[in-house]
Amino acid sequence: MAEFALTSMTSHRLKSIVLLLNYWEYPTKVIQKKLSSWLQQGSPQVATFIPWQAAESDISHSLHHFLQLVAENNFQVSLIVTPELGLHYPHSGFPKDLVSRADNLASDSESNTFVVHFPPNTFVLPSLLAPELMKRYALFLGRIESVLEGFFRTHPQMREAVQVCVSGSLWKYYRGLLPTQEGLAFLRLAQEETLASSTYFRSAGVRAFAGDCGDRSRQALLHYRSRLETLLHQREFNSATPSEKRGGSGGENRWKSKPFEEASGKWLAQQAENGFRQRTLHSLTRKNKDLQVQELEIYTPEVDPLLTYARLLQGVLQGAGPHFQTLSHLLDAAGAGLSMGAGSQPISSWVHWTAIGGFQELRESERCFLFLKSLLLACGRGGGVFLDEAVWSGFSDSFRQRAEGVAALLQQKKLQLRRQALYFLPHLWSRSSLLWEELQRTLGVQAAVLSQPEELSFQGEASLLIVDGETILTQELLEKLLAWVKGGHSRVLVLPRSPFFTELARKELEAIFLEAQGVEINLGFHFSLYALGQGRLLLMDPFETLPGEQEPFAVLKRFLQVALSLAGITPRCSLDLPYLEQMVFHAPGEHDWVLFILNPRAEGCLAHLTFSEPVLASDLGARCAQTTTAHSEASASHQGAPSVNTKEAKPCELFALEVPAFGVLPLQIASMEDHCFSQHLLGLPPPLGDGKSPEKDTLFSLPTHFRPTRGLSSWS
Amino acid sequence: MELVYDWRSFHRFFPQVLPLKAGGQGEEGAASAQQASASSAASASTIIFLLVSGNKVLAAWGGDAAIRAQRLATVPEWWAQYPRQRFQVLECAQVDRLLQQLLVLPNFVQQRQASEDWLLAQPLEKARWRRGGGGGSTCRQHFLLQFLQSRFQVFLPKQYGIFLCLTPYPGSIGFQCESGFFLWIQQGRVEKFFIPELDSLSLEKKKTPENVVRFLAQKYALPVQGLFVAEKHWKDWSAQPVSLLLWRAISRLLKKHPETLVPAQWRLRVLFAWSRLWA
Repeated sequence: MAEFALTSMTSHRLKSIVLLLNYWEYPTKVIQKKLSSWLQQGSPQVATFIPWQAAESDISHSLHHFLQLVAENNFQVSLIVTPELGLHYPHSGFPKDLVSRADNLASDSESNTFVVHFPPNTFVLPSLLAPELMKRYALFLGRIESVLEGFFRTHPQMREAVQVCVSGSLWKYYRGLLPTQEGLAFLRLAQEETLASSTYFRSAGVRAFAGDCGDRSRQALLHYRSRLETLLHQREFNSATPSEKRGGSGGENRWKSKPFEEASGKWLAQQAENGFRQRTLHSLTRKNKDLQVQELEIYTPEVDPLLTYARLLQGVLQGAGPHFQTLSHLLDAAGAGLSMGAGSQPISSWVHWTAIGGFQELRESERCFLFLKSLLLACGRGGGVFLDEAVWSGFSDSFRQRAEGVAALLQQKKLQLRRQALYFLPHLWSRSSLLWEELQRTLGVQAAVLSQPEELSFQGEASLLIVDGETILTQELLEKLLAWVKGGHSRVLVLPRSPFFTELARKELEAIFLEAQGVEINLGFHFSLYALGQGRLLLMDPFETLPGEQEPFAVLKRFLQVALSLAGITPRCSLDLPYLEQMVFHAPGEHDWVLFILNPRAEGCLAHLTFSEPVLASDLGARCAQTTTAHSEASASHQGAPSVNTKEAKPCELFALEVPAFGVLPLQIASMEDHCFSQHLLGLPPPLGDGKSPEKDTLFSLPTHFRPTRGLSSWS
Repeated sequence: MELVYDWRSFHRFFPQVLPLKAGGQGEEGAASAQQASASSAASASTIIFLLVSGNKVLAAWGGDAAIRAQRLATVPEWWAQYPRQRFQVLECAQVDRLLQQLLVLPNFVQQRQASEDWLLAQPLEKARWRRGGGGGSTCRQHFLLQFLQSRFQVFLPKQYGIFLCLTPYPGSIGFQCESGFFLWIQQGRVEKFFIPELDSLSLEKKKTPENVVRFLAQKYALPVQGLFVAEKHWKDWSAQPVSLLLWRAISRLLKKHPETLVPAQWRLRVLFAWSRLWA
């Protein structure tokens, strides 16, 4: 992994909103025209997907011509080489002969193939573990490499301007079209509980990423088996547990037994995904060590398997196609795990909106909402949005300006999405755990999933880490987890009492138990609490083993509350309307934070916000707008933070807020200690004069009682 | 590089025709139970599609946003909630089989057409549940696509091309044909659809419809029929349901502006005129 980290450095950084200019979609003349017009608009950066088939059959050297045009116009270009879905190309760019052969197709455990019903044609997902496919893929990458080499020979100055993007490819789409049994079971539970009122569950017919995800085709199983054999030869998986020794199991390796099959399947699926990415990186940089490569994770909500049936009915029935609520739900679900990565750099997360998948057919207000939501989710984690020019030009000028404004704030790291709790999974895209669902419901986008321990180093803000019950815990993984919990103040690590500890990991844990003082706690079920440096370790029984009379959902919620309070995580703000969504961003080095409130409904509402402490709150949208005006007027006298109401503000815990339909409201929040708003977010010059604190913003700070507020500007 | 299945352009030239106004999308989040029952009365003529697995309802679609917001677990619950509406209950396994059948078709136009045909051929739920009464399709097809697949196809070649070019106004001359759209028809089915490359034609020749059509016929070795229709007329016709009035309007325009058809084909004009009899 380390050897590829060196090549992953980038000379140019992708902007947060990148327009796609697919060279294979347009004639050269049109490309030239588009590049010229974009250059005039001051956005000299484009991205293009390179469909596999297009590269293989490129007898007219259109990729080379495209790169020449890019060079002539002084553009920076990102070439997305890994196969992705949602491309306006037959079979999404896969060679037809490869996806027509049954041997090359991916399937689930019941041998059902994964059908992608999306323009320009319906096809079946191939298996990225099929030997024939991988052989051709290596040739395709070699071809790309040689095209780039030839281009750099004639345009050496473009080495810095051309970047190759390696994305996560198809792995997240290896999912069935139906909800899994776990998904349905949870929906039933959720409906019985108060959760039924939550839009999270109501909005979509089924939940995305709930249940098993992965390729279980014959080729994939063969690959997993050979990988497992290699792993089982390691000493760690060969040592017997004390019970096995006592029982004299005769050298039978427990990792080969049935109960471990599913867990190891998920683990190996994740390893296969990581391996594919590494192989792609290796192939691209084998000869050309200076090639600029960036690792990304791209998600195209419009192609998600959840929308397949809806798309099938689309032609017959109005409104059956990809509709707003499902797309919004998919963003939530995918956003929890998009910014995943291992190695020396985090992998940035990107959302891709196509011009052919139904997004364009939504109303403008809905499109604006989804676009902003995807921008906040992806950009808040170092990524952004790839979108077709037609989608971008479909927005109004004022909206585009606002979107670019928020993207700039996020890209300059003036705002970062705050992740408070993490959930460690054996496979990133299989999230069938009730505990994870409840964690996400409680914290929203402040909770994230991860599957690589290396990612912990990029999540410094988090104070709670829950390890899934199906995770295979090796000594190395346990050491990394323990190092994380010891490395920060009041961090909490939750480990399951599962049979998936290797013997070495178990011994390591027992050594800790001998050193640390443990406390047994009974909250309807048992868990142990240990102090580890400044952090804490919780060892819990799996919820599936609860006695029959226990309500698993109630117990689970109780346990989560304990874990959250131990980690010092309390929701900073709660909303009385459950369907409203909130995202908390913080400004590094500043005390104040930004709360985005999103209303996914078609009508406005009056929401009541309750903060955990008295705060000052201000409409960031209005403040930014006023700042722009102030700057344009080139006013010599700085008047402090702009405010609509100039009355002296007092910190307050309760606020009322009018949220318009499909509104995205950015609120800047300053806690009582700060007592003033930072100018950091607005890019204002420091206060002049005697250094007194600037005038406080009292836009909707209503100190004594609730009152509806007016004048807050929605960003959508 | 020509895209053989240029769906984006296809969608621009043949916009999806929906049975109802597309205004209700996205309002499901706001739908309450009361709204749902109110809207059920308002849109009783629409069909509710239920996707079921065993006796569980997994998803529902209807003409109304409120319908999609409903969370009813079983088919009888749906019937009770919407007593006046007709239902089409689809087993997941059936739909999966349909998806597999679509794989043999080459492109999304044919695949969508086949799925619509299949869905509309499915019987509605038992008569006793058909309280709303009436029948008929909820689907509306584009008039030209419907014509290409109609019984008149026997009078047309087995394989041919249609070059569709939208002009600024009827009978306009001297415009560039570069943004015209090509449909490759084989036995009445749209086999390929793309914007053809005309780079090898001189600017002067591009301004003459006859030259462009001749060039395309030579390039693809197909008989090609050019349709040079004013953009305004095309949009109007595309938005209308296929009817006697529509075909009458088309025939009238062809009579008034014979340059719409390149080459001028009396046979095609007659077929268009006859189409109104079967509309």
